[in-house]
Amino acid sequence: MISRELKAASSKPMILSILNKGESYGYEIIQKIEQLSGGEWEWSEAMLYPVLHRLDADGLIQSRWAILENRRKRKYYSLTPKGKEALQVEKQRWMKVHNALVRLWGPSPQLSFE
Amino acid sequence: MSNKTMFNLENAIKEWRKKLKKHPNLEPGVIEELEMHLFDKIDSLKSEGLSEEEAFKKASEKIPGAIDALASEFLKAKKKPVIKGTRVSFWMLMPNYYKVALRQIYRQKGYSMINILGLAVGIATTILIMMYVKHELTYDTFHTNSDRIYRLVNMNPTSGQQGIAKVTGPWGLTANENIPEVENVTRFVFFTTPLVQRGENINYEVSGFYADASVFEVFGYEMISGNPETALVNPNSVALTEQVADIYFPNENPVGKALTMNGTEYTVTALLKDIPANTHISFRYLVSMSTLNHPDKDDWIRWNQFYTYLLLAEGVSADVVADKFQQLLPTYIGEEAMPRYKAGMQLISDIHLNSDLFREITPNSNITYVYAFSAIALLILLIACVNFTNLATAKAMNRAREIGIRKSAGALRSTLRAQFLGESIVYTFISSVIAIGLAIAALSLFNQITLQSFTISDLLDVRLVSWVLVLIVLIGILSGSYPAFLLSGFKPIQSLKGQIKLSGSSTVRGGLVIFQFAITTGLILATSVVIQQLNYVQNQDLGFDKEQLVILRIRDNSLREQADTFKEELLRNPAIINASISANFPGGTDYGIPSQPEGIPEDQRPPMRILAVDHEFIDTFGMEVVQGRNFSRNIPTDTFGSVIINQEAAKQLGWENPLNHRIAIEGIDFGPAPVIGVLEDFHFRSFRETIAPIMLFIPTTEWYTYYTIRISPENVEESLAHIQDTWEKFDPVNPFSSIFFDSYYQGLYYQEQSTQNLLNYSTMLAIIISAIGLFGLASFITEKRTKEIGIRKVLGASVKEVVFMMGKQFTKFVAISLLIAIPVAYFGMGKWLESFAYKTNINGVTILITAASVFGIAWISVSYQSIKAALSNPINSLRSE
Repeated sequence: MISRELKAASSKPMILSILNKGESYGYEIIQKIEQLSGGEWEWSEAMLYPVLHRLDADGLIQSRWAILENRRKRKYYSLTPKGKEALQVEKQRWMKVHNALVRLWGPSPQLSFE
Repeated sequence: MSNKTMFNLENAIKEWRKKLKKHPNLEPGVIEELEMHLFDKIDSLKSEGLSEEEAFKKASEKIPGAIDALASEFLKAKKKPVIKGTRVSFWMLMPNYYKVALRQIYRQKGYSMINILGLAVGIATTILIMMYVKHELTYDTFHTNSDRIYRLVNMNPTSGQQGIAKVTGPWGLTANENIPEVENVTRFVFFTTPLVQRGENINYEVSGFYADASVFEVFGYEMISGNPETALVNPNSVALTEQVADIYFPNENPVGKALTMNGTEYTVTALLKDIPANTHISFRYLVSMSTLNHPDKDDWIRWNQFYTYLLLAEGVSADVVADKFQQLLPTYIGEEAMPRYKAGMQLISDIHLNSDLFREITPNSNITYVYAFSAIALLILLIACVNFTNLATAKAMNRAREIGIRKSAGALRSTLRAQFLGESIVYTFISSVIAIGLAIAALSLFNQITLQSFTISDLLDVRLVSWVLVLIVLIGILSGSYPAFLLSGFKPIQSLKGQIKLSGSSTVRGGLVIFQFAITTGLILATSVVIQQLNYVQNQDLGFDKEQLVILRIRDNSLREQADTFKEELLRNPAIINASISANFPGGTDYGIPSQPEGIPEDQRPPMRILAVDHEFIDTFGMEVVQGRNFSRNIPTDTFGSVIINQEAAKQLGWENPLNHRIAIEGIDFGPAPVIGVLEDFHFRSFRETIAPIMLFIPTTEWYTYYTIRISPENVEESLAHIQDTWEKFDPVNPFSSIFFDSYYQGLYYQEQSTQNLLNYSTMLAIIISAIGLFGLASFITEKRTKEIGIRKVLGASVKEVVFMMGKQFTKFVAISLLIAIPVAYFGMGKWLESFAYKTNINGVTILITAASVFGIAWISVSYQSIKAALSNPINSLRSE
């Protein structure tokens, strides 16, 4: 199980990356994350929707309403240019952390602490 | 399948949606979004095999959590932008401030009205007084060469007071010829009121002068028609101002035409614009000096009737010129006469406020009056400002909530200060607009009070207006800063809860009330003293009876030569009590001829005033001979051979028994003649002057100029008619005109009267404004304590007790202000009284009355509100929130 903090920290890059692949809506995003983690990560609505709205308020993503055949409305999100930039920033940050950790864990199975 | 009623998805969703709608803080669109999410999830769960009902239940489980998360997220988001985004600037909120300011005014119409009106009255008074002060300060500044024109005078105290304003003819001419620093000279001599005639138009015209031809060059009077260089060169030329020209030459140019004055034909050589009011030489026409034909006009000693003005070259010092002239004098008048002469120079614009010499053209004003009025204007304004501050501060409580909200919404303290200051300026602006209207409306009343004639253009003069604008801003800031400072300091939470404590401010407010009362007290005291002094002066024993005296000016020689017959005719009517003919009368002019008392060395001779009278003079005026006797017809040597002096003369001459000492007037070949009687001292001129040494003698008839006739107090009309008839019998040519002595004498006090009037009205205003302010303050404070009063009443306090309790606090204030104001006013008025030779004193009664009136004002203002509060139903007071 992934910790709460890690879930929270990864929510922004996760959502931005998913939306980078194309427009999507709340329920679909939750499904995709489940798929990606092989069913391990289950994001709750309480986790997703606030982040979506925050990203929207910060101008990183934008939304539009689509009216379906049965007269129901669905809110679709997509990345803004600002969001695309933010995604790159997130990527770099995440990779920095990743590389540092990978270097530390290295080819040798033993961890050496100085 | 269950046995429950059919599960309806639509209804379930409806119920769910209804519940959601009740939730506060949900952004629009959230419900729709989550609803769609619900449907998606239900579909997905159904495809996994759950029933619709089960799917709904599972799907909607997690939703509430999401809702809460969304709601808190929304709240967080709302707070952020205020810090990061744009600050709400003062200017953006201006429309709001206007609205709020006006709404404040509207909501509390009563108090706002009081405040605005009080301030308006204060500003209006200040404007009027400033106009008056400006008028006084700019006397004689409109001449072309104002800064270089000096009056040449004799500053020798032995000639009377600190000097005499008139000199002899040759002084000016010699100064001009022999002193290079003097560029030009011009002289004025009174032109005795003539009878002017053109066709059917016959009138006496006053305010005329002889003037040298150089007058237009030196003074630059505006000439509408005529040649300034030649107008007054030839004899029998006259320059008329518009007002005189309008009488005799309506709608035509008078230049070149003839005008008869005293039977002689003059040529009008110039038309002048009317002379502005702010000058010490005011005239209606000028006659050429070359017309003047007095035998002594070129004498160095005998005939000092010339007002002499020197035009100095640029950059020249007046003292240098005075010194040079002083050195020239001995050459012309001889060393022996020198002790009586000391040349002095007065800058023309200084004369009106700073000169008080003997024989000024008209009595001048004094710079202390200007200071006094400026001080009064300032004080009245201060009172109005203090009012405003007091009231604004007292109303602070009502604005507490508004302040709390503004602060919570992010207003900075400086913004709030600016807002309240702005409100104060709006108030002041409204008051000023009203004030200008008030000032215009009150202009004619002001003119009556100050005995002047200001016009609306005087009031709206550019410099004055700009000063007023500066004043407005200053007042707004001054009165508004304390409340602004105070109000903006309120803590938001406490203000919203209604827990503001105004502890520090009540001492300041108290201080302001004391200040207001102190000023009012001072003004009341000052006015009482002025009134007292003026009454004292009017009712003092003049030494003669000034009631019911009619004065006629002799126009024709027949009235001189047939004096005895004329008097007999007059006395035929029983209403005529006595008649006298003389050359002078008290309060009028006298002869500045030197006299020679026997046995007194020249440098010790007192400056005797010489009155040329007749046998009836002393009785007609009701004077008293205390030693020796009056002139008698039975003793022929009394005529032109005897002298009567007054007690002051005897004192100054050092003659304990003056009878039979002798005095001569060499200049007219009189005497030495014996003193036959001593007269009780009387006031010859204004009470400002000490009693002078006087001598009376009987001259030859050509000296005589006036008749003084005492009539009975009953049938005044009849007596006047009889006098007129008799006049017309002896002088059918000249129109009859007379004046009552006491109204003439009153005119000597013109300046004091004007001062008294202005002081009176200012005091009344200060009192009214103070009372208004105090009334407003008392109202507010009483309002705040309505609950307390209600409780006290319920506990059994009577109306009287409540009123007393409220009044006690104000009594303390009044007592303190009296302690401050009375000593200050006492000292100040003491100084003013010193300028009088004969003065009243400030006694305890005056002070007591002042104190009582101030207390009265305080109590009346407070009582009204307290009684109102005390009489109201306690239930209402306690219930109100």
